[in-house]
Amino acid sequence: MSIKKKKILLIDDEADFTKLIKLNLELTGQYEVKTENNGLLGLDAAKEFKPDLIFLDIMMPDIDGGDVCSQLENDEETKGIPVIFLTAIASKEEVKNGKGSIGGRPFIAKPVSVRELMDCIERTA
Amino acid sequence: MRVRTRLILLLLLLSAIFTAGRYFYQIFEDKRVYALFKDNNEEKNIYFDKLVKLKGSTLETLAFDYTYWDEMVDFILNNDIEWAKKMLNETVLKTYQADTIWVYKRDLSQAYFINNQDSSVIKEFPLPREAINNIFLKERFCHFFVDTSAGLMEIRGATIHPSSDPTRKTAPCGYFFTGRLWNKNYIEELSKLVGGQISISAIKQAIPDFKTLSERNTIILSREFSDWQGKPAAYIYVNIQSKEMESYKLFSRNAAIIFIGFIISVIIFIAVFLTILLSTPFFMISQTLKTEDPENLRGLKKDTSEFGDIARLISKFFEQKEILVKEISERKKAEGELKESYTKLKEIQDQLIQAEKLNAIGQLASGVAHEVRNPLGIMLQGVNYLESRLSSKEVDILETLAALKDNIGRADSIVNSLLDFSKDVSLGLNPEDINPILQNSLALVKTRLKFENIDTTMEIKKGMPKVLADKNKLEQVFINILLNAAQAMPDGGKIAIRSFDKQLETIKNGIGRRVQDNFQLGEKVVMVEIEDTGTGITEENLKRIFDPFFTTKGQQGTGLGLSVTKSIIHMHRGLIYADSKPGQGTIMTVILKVAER
Repeated sequence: MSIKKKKILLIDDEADFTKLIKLNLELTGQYEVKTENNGLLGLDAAKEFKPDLIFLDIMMPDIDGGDVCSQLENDEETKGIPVIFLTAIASKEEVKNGKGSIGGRPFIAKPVSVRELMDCIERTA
Repeated sequence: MRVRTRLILLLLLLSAIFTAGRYFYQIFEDKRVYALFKDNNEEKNIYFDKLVKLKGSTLETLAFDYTYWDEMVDFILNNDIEWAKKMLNETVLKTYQADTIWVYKRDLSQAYFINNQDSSVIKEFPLPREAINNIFLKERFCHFFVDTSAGLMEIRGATIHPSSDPTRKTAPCGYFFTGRLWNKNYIEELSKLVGGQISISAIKQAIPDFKTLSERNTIILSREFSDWQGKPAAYIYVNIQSKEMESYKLFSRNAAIIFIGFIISVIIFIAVFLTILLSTPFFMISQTLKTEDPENLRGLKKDTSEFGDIARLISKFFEQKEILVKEISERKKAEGELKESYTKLKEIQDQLIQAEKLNAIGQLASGVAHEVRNPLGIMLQGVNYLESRLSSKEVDILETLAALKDNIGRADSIVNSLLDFSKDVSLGLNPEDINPILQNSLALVKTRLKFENIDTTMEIKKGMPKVLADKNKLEQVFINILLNAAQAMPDGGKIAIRSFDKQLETIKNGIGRRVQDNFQLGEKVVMVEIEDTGTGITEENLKRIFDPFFTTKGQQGTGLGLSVTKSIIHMHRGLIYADSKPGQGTIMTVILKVAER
């Protein structure tokens, strides 16, 4: 078992949500998942954890996903990490057509199933 | 009554007046002719009498001169025949134009008798001897007519006296008679002189009345010749054909003909002149009023007569009319523009309200989406986790989790519709064949329809022009319509899907009514009809089915399906509408623009 587990960072203010995603993804045995419920903590985690992919919620208190994303981009250490937004206010149609993007980045609409997340990770990272 | 008729009547009246005038003139003329004829007649009478007297005067002279002569008295006394033969010979007869001479002695014995060739048959004196006494009983001269075997004879007689008795008071020495035969030659001579035909009749003849004679231009003179006793001996009739009267009458008739001809020509000339003078302008005026084209009056407008005035008035009228018509049409146009701008304004207002609504809904939708989807996301993750931790033997739990997942999906689809509706989703428009889109849509719902006991038929026209469409959006539209149709048929039924292209012919809300309508009349379009045999929609509801949040499905519907459908079709610049009869079913029609090449 020499396959290196993909490192996923999930930043979302919903603690239940992050907890369950972590559980589900790690249950597959393919991913190492770190979660943060705050944008600023998420930025720190990104530098420390150096994930292969970041799932980033847009609507968060204190600092929203958009700001987090731009700070990640501005930081030499983190700017190469692919970011996928998670949003509750996009429709399924937009996602399915691949038409919708937020700040030029792809997104996934909530509610999201484990299967969708995995497909997305495999496509991107 | 038309002017032309009146003119004709006027001219006829004029003709009648002229004819009447001519008639009275003719009566006057006839009277003149009659008087003329009477004069002529009188003249001829006098002339004839004078002629007869003149012709008879030689005979009278003979009788007078030869009886007032001593030698004649001597002859009677001495009975010297030689003298008589010498003095009363044929030369004497010829000189005095006499035919016979008889000389009687006082005792009425014949002393001498001579006749000429014409009267050779006459030997005896044509009267009894005794009559001679009676003849000269009162008078010394006599003049009478007597019918002889040689014809009618005029006789002049006188008593013979010596020259010493110029008044012939003494007793006659003898009697002298000389006669002239009114034979053919003499009558012809007289006829020539009088200028007519003379005829002699023993009996009196009827003469036509004066008027008849006047008409025939014939003058008839009649004379009664008396015998020695004063009784009628013969009647002489002179028939004169009056050449003057004839030529006068002819002249009069010719004058009448010329007069009537002249009058007729004048009337015809007046008729033609008036026709040209009146009919032409009348025709021009009536033609102008009929055709409403004042150009017809161009010539007449320059006329200085009353017709010119009328023509100018009429063209002025038309000018004013044109101005009025122009004003009215401008006013109508302005009114139309006003109406249109009002409609536009109303529409914009509606759109604004709609936009406002949509904006509100959009904000609401975002909030709702965030607040609802996050818990849904957690639930879904939870369910996923539980599923992955359970063995497949836990059938009941797995079924429960599946039900949870379904309901998470349902809640999510409501949020999804809400977002679709509120967001100004941009379309990916490409030229597409409508038929595969319809077939795909049907394929996606076919299983469900079959399950609900619904038959579907498809009548698609092949080779239609492509439409400019977002394939996925249109599929969403047709699926929505098909599912609505299915829901209208809880006990099963039939759905017919038809596609065809056509040219728009009838004006409809959204077609050819206003400039901003998506479709113009005559435009070629692709149409899709989806007909069901369901419960139908009431007229009341039909107006509201495309309104957001309007639903008849109660808890089952979001009230956004047809709103979204409509907004998708509108984004295609298409048209969607429903025709329905409650209890019979509904036809949903979608009209799409043909992709331009």
